[in-house]
Amino acid sequence: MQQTRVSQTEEERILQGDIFRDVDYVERVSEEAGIIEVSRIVFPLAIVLTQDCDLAQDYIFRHTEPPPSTQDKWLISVLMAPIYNAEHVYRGEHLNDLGIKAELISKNKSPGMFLRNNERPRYHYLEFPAEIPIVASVIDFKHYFSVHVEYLRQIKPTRFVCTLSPLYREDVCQRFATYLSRIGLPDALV
Amino acid sequence: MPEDSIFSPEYSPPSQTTGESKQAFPPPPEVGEQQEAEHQLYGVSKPKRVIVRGKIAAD
Repeated sequence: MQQTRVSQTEEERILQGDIFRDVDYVERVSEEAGIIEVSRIVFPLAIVLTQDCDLAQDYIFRHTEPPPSTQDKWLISVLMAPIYNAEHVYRGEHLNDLGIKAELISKNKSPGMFLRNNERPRYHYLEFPAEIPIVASVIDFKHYFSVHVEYLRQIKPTRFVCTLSPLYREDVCQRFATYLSRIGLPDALV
Repeated sequence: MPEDSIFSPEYSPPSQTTGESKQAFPPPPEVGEQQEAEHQLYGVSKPKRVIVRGKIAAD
């Protein structure tokens, strides 16, 4: 497995391939008798998957002076995917705290090797250079979620970790697009 | 988004029933603090669910 190349240079706008820590995802909001309840998931790490030109246009349309005459390029949300600790994924326990038990992936047998070689369409395995303090990790494309673009911009100064370098970024996003556009065929009749 | 919106990062929940809202990791190290921070690893913990409840303020 080749190490992923990353940059720690922080740009003001959100970039495709940016990795953030402690990303909040609001999963449910309810209100009853004047009491509001908000349930959110805090992902320790997550990566931005939205197309970079869309993010660039959104930034320009929101923040240039004088403002453009329309808000045509504003995004509603930014697509992200969680990044899990690979050791937790092997043991199927990365979502234990959410009450979700995942499949076991034998680290030292073929399933683990397939995962590390990115031969499982659902997952993208990442190993980071020594100067990036992130453990070996796995992006789970099935668990993609969205957050507001301005929320990400607000947390970027304190929660930005790094951004994937070109080609590595495209590799992740192309594999995500392929995974998302897969065609599920019915099971064979027996 | 209004400043007091519950979705605002600055929002301070009035009560917390599960999980913890404390940041799991300190901010990324500043230049010069790299050596001290070398032991800090990102991505070691698992996702957590946090539920907050609060009264809706009257206008």
